[in-house]
Amino acid sequence: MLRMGLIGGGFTLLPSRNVLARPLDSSLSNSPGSPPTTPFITPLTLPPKARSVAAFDPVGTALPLQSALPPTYYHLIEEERFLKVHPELPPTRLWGYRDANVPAGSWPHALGPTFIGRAEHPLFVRHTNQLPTNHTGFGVPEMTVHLHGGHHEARSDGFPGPGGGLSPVFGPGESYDYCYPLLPPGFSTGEPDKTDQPATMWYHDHLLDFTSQNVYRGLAGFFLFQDQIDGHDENLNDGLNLRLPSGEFDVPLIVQDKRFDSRGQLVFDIFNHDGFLGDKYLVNGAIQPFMEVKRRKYRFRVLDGSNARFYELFVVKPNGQQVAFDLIGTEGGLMSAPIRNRTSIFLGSAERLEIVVDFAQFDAGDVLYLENRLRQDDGRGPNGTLDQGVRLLQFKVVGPPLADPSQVPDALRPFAAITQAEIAAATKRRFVFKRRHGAWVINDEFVDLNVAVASVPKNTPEVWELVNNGGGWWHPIHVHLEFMHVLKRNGQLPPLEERDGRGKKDVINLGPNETVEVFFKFRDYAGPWVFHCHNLEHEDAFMMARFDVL
Amino acid sequence: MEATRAAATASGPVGDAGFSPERANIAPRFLDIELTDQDGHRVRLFDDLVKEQVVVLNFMYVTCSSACPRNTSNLAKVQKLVGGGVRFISITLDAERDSPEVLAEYARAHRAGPGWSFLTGDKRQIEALRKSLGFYDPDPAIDADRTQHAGIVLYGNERLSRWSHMPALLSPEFMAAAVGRVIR
Repeated sequence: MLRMGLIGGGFTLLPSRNVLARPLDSSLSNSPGSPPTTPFITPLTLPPKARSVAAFDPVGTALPLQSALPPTYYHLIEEERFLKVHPELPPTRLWGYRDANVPAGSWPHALGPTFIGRAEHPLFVRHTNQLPTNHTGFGVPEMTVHLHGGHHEARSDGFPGPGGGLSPVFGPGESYDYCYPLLPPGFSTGEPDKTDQPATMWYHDHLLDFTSQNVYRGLAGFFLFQDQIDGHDENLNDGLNLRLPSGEFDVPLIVQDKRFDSRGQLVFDIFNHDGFLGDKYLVNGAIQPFMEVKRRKYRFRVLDGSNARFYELFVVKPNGQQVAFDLIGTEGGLMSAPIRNRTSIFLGSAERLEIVVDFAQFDAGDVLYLENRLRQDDGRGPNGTLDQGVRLLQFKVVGPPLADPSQVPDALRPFAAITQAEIAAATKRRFVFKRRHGAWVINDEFVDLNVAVASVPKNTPEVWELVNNGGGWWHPIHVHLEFMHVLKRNGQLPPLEERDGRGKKDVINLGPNETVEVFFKFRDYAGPWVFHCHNLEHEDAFMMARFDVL
Repeated sequence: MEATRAAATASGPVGDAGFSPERANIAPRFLDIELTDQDGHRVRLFDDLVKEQVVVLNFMYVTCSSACPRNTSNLAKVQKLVGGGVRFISITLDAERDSPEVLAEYARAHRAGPGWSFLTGDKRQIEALRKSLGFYDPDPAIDADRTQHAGIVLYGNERLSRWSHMPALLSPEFMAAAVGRVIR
């Protein structure tokens, strides 16, 4: 049943979220909805891990001097493929990344291969664009790959187009080499910060003005970070490793909403600049799949991979009763300490939140759901909550009681909050996000990749005030290169999971009229970078800016 | 109609046997309307000006004192850079005052080159068209205020169904390059 209002309990993120009901205003309201599909009859899948290839001579890039370990080489293909996203639909034409090791036609996954990157073990990834030149329909077959959440050189960051001395776009038939040294930020200053490491990154296309179309077509994959602390091995008991659930019990989940026509093909609305919403929910590329879970703890790395939809996700029993879990990480990596007994997580586009759910409390045959209870009718943002939401993923509890070696310790990856002295010494900047004449501006300018809105000396402290100038729009703002420490939200202490000292962020949700103050130190890599709204339709309406690190 | 459309896309991209790309979706968004250009000619917007073409389209009105004068001048520079083969279309939001003669003078004043249609017609149809093509604000108060109308251009290649949009006041070089990207 639909009811408006705030959810109590685990919902903490934004104080001003008692948004008013707005009339439905979807520009797709004239078009038919997707064909009906039976939920929870197709299994959740995960693509294989990326497989390395023989060493090649990287073109245009090289390791930093401080990179000591031998690199591993990978080769990915951008391709068009057909895939059934649901047993009841014909195969859908998608774009995606594929391991070059695997022959064309043999990659039956929506997602690209999952990378596991080990700290300080560098990777070279060659991308070869095999998308069709004569492509018809939305999407442009020119690529630039952004590893979202990574700390690496500008040339390997998926800069959206030519500019700043970069030529990062590669067309059909062309290749481009990326270098990910996975060195801790500060490595070049003698102050490597191993408390500042990612956990769940993802890679996706970033082509200026077509990102919404290209990512919606499917170009996405996971890139997970592993080190001595987040060892991906729940059995390794060496005093450093946290022993979080690992192996089959460590599950990345990308949640997306899409729309399909009667032939099972993706429907997209290129006339929509507010934010595209779908009516079908996919997890890891399949519509409303199910997953068998054993009676023990699982780590779920949840990524909002939608163009514009926000989610408030709950784990619920069939009667709607909520199940508590531990929150252990944001897109800025593992938190300093878990937040226990949470019952929901709130995600905007590109945000990641990691939770540990313990299914030991249930019996074989029990069924649970990952349910979205946020109401959103148009691209501007959420406009209410539902008592009973949409169930995205079904968990089927199977098997006998199980020994569970995994843990969620009280300390995860502690890190120091920024000191008052550093805040005082920081350069202060203010960026106002506004709508102007049907498009989006930052400080009254549209993005120009040839012009930097800020020139920031490397390794120096910065405080940015990010201001959403109202209008009833929500904007998830993403800054490249570094994670941000959140100092204030609307003048007050931020909610716990984004509070400096507890968790770091690389996407900040700006609700209507909100102001957030964040701290950065842009370290190690000079060059042109971007920050932008991660509502992809806004991003493509030029809600982006270049900044240079000198 | 369906048969000719299918034939037109027979040379489309490879893929699943029997799969034909989603080209048909775009035409209905142009609402099958007829407008009158600055030379007084009656045109069917989609069939005569958009179909099979590379198009740069925006909305304006002659007495606009906010964005339009700069937008139109900027688009004129873009038109010089992209050269022939791209159709420019500007549709008035003030059909009551912007007659073909007024539009012709406006086009001359802004040095619009050949291949640029300035269109007027039925006010209500144009209103429906602008909403259909994404030139609106979901806030009814802003949407009703003509001086805050969307200063973006829709651009695309109808044959390839490759469309996007951008603000009308970006650098002409950037905009020309963007149009070039959909020509391929």
